[in-house]
Amino acid sequence: MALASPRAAVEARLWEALRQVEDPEIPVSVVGMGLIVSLAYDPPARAATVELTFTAMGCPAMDFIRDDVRAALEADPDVDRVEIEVVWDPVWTKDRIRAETRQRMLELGIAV
Amino acid sequence: MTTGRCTDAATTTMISLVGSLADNKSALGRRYGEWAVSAPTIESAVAAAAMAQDELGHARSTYPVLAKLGVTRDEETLDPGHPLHAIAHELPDWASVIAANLVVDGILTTFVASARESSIEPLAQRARKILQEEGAHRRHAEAWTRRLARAGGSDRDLLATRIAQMWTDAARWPGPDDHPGYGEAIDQGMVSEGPAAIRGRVRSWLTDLLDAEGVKVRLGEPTGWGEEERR
Repeated sequence: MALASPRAAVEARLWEALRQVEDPEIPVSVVGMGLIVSLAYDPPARAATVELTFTAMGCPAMDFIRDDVRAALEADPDVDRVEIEVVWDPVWTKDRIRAETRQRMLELGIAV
Repeated sequence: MTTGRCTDAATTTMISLVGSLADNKSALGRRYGEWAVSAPTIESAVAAAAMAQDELGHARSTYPVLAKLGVTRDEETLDPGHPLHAIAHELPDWASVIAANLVVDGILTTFVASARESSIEPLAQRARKILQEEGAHRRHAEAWTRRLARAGGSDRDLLATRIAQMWTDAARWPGPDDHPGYGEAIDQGMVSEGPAAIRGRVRSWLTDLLDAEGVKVRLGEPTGWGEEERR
């Protein structure tokens, strides 16, 4: 079994992986949209834990986003297990959208 | 639905309230959804679809709170269980939709507001998100109430009739003012206020709204409540 990378290095890599996961409805990343509330890596367990929120409780893309997040994290060579917890606190508002994503959305003609 | 352990009166009451809240939100979502293609205007049809999506999301997100209260639901579907009689079946006219939006959504949301700081943390978290989304439902209900009231004639009369009918059913939902389990739930910080306060808040809001439009509806004290199904 390969030794796990240091926690911080893996977490940085996992964040980068999540930046590649796009919201199915808008071509911006789930990180930029502020949907990732927290991410933690447990080296001994080789487990990634994500707190994920959604813009709305009735978001029709929930399952897609969850599946895509899981797939992105499971692709990492140091991750054997992914736990995703959906949380509603903090409440998602437009304030959670990152500045560069906000700019991208404006370029796409989406008012934010 | 089965409970996995013995529960005190407060927890039993919260299991009933949370389960019924989810059941009614599921039913309300279905009722709104049925009008998503036949509302009076394309804009209101879109609004009905959006509210349906919200309510189904609230139901789906609320059922898991039951697990935190030691209850296992037999299925993971959005079976609406035992909703209020008034929203158990397809609503007959647009005035009924607005009355449900106003009164049923109003009672349920006022209950949710009382759980915003609940000691049941998963409930408190969901409450804050639900309240964020319910703001738009309230604005929709108020705007359509004014619109139907100002239309006058049979539109106005039917709206008044439907509001009265919805109130008779929905005002019963929180239960009697002196329900002991509810009192204990308040004492334990699970909710901040009881049935009388919830009815009072909704009655006050509706009275102000309807009086301003000259619509007279009697919003009396409810009678006859069944604890098991909260209706």
